[in-house]
Amino acid sequence: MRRSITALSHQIGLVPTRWLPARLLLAVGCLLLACGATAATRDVEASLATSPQILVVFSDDPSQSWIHEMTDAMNEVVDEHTGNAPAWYFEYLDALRFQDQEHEREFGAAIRDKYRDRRMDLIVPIASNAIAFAAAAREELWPGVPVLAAEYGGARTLARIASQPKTTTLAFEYGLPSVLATMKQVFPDTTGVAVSYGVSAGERRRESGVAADVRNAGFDLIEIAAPTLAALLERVGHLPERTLLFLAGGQLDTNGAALPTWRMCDTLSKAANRPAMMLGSQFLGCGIVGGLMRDYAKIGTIIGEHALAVASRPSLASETIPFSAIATLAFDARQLARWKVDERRLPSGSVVAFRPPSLWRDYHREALIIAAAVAVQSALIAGLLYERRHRRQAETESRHSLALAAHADRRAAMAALGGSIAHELGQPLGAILHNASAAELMLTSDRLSRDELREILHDIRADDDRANQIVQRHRAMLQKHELERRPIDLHAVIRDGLALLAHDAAQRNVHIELRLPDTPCVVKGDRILLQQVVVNLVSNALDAMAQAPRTRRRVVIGSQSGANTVTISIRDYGSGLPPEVEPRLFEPYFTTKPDGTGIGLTIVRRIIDAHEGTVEARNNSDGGATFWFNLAYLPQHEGVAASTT
Amino acid sequence: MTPTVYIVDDDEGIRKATTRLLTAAGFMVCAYPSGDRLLAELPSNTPGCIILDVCMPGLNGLDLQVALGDREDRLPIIFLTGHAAVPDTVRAIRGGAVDFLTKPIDPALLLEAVDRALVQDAHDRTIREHRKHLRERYEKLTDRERQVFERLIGGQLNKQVAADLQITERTIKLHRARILQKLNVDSMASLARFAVELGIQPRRPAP
Repeated sequence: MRRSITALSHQIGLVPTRWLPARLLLAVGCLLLACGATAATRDVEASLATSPQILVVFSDDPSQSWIHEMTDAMNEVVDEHTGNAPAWYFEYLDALRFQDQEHEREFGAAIRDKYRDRRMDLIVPIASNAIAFAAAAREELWPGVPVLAAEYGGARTLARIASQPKTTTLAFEYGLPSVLATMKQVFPDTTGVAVSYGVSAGERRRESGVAADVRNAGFDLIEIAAPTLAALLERVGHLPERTLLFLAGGQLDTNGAALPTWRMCDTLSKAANRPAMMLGSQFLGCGIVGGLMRDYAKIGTIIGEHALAVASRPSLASETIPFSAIATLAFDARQLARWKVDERRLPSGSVVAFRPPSLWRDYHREALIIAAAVAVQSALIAGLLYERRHRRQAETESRHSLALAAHADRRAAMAALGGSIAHELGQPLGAILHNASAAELMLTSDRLSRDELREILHDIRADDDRANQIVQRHRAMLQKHELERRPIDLHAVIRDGLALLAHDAAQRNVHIELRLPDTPCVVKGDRILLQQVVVNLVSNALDAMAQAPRTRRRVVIGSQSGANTVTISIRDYGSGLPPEVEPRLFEPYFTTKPDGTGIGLTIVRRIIDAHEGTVEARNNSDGGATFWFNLAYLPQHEGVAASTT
Repeated sequence: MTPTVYIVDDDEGIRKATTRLLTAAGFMVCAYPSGDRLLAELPSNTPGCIILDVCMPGLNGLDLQVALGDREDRLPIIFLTGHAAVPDTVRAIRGGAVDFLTKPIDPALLLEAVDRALVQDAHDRTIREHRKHLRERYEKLTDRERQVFERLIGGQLNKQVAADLQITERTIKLHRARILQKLNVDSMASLARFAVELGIQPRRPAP
């Protein structure tokens, strides 16, 4: 079974995966054989004399596929004991096309001439025509040479030669009844079998045993013998329901020209409206459904082995080979699908070939590995995505909490600067009041000129604007605010921040020295939050100088542009950072001030972090401390947002 | 000479508006953006008053008051403040501020304050004139006459002064008559008031 399937597989170009190891072994074997090839050639010549010389006579023409199956198998046969292989000679009677006595005589004469100088050890006629020919011609052509007659079309002709001396017969069971029984199992509702004999008269005659087998199996018989291929196709295309089409012939067309049988098989199967079957297993894949089929490779091997045995021991007994020994059970998946056969109905041990290519079936190990790799990768990607999402979420949350904390801190800072807003607003409001009173006075004394009035009104409006700006600035600092990053002028932000502190600084007698270049410094950031950074750092500087002598109360704010970053420094001349404070400077709730919350510098760091910048602090060599922060620079003024309140 | 109101305020809007208000009220006004500028540019010995914002960058109002206090001809100062802090107020008043106005400044109150300050300045100026005359007269006294003067206003009798200075009582009487003449007073009581006005410390007899 195993061997036949391998042969079959080779023929139809299919290697079921579970035989991959077998195929590998075969490949390795081929390699080893190739290595020993040179030596082998010499051996063949030397052993020619000792190897049995066997002439095989086939009934059919050499182009038929089953003939190849058999000759290939015979060529594989090797004597188990001596390691010798017989020297095979093959002749073909081509009896279907040349069926007269004249032809047989000429054929015999040709063989006699051809093998004049060769002494055959065994003659092996195969199938009825060749057996008949051998029975008649052996005395004349090969006197005294033993004969092994093999018949697979039924044992009828064997009788004509079996009684001759030095004759061994090999009868292969025809097997059609088992074939039909199997088909009944696969197609349970089958009631009839249509037998197509092809278009030539000879084939119909030769396959006459088929009809009886069909009837004996209990099926209605439909015999199809059409004069032309077109007629034949027409007939098979209109078969009744519950009928199977059995292709019994098809080697010849109406003109007697040989047809490749597989093509006939293919054409008829396609045209048929019912499932087609054929006896030879080599036709699986050519349109037939499959089933129990005769495997000619197995027949060839059995004939070959028997021939080798008979060549050395002519007295070997005749044998009948059961169909099971030469049968193979295989189906064409495409045809099963075509006829909607449930694969579970197939007899156990069935091979299903021609499955549509399936990655899983053919490469399941590789597929598994790839799938595993993909799964691992997917898991990794999923993990990373999850991580990313998680981080995003955390970022959003942290941004939100930063916004909340920053807001609380701003409120505290603005509350601390409470007096400042009153003072700041007092300036423009006072100016407005004085201007209005002045105008009033001028009116009563009748000294108000038009120009003067215009000027006064202009000043009143300007002061009103000023008051508005102050209110806006404070309100912006007090409002809740989520981080938003857009191009802003950092210098303008610093000036705005200082405006909030100006009054406080004056009150504490601190002079704020602003050393900023006039050019705008564009960074991508949040105006309110960065302003808060400035307010916190400068407030800190003001606090640091509470104990400093009045002449030293100075805060210097500088800006230095690097290649990619801008550094803002806030320098005070206060008490400096005590060594134990320095490392904990940006820790939350760490404070040295009696009324401090300890959150101002933490907020500063978190705001700067959110801007991907850095903030640090260091004591100056000449007293006081300096705080720096760095921000990435937008050198091109990409749509600078108005950054003054 | 017309009195001038000197305004010092760093806020341009306020400076301009206050100048305008006081000008409309008929005052001569001169405004400065900082205390330093005022110190540098204030003409000496002119009547007037100063309006100062307590809270200013650089030299603040109180600093400026201290700086101005050094001058002989100091002007009355009206302080303006955002919120009156008690210690600041006390300091300012001690330094001779005439008024302490809290923002927002009522224009009427400001004008009143300016009026008051100018009256004060005129008064101060009269007193300063008077003292100046007294001082001039006092400076005509000889060293010996001043020694006698200090002892007389301390309540010492001629005899005690004579013993103290180790000169005769008669000479003391002579000095006393010359002192009264030089200082243009007619009694010992007037002499005592003169000493108080000039701030001359009497010399008490040794116990």
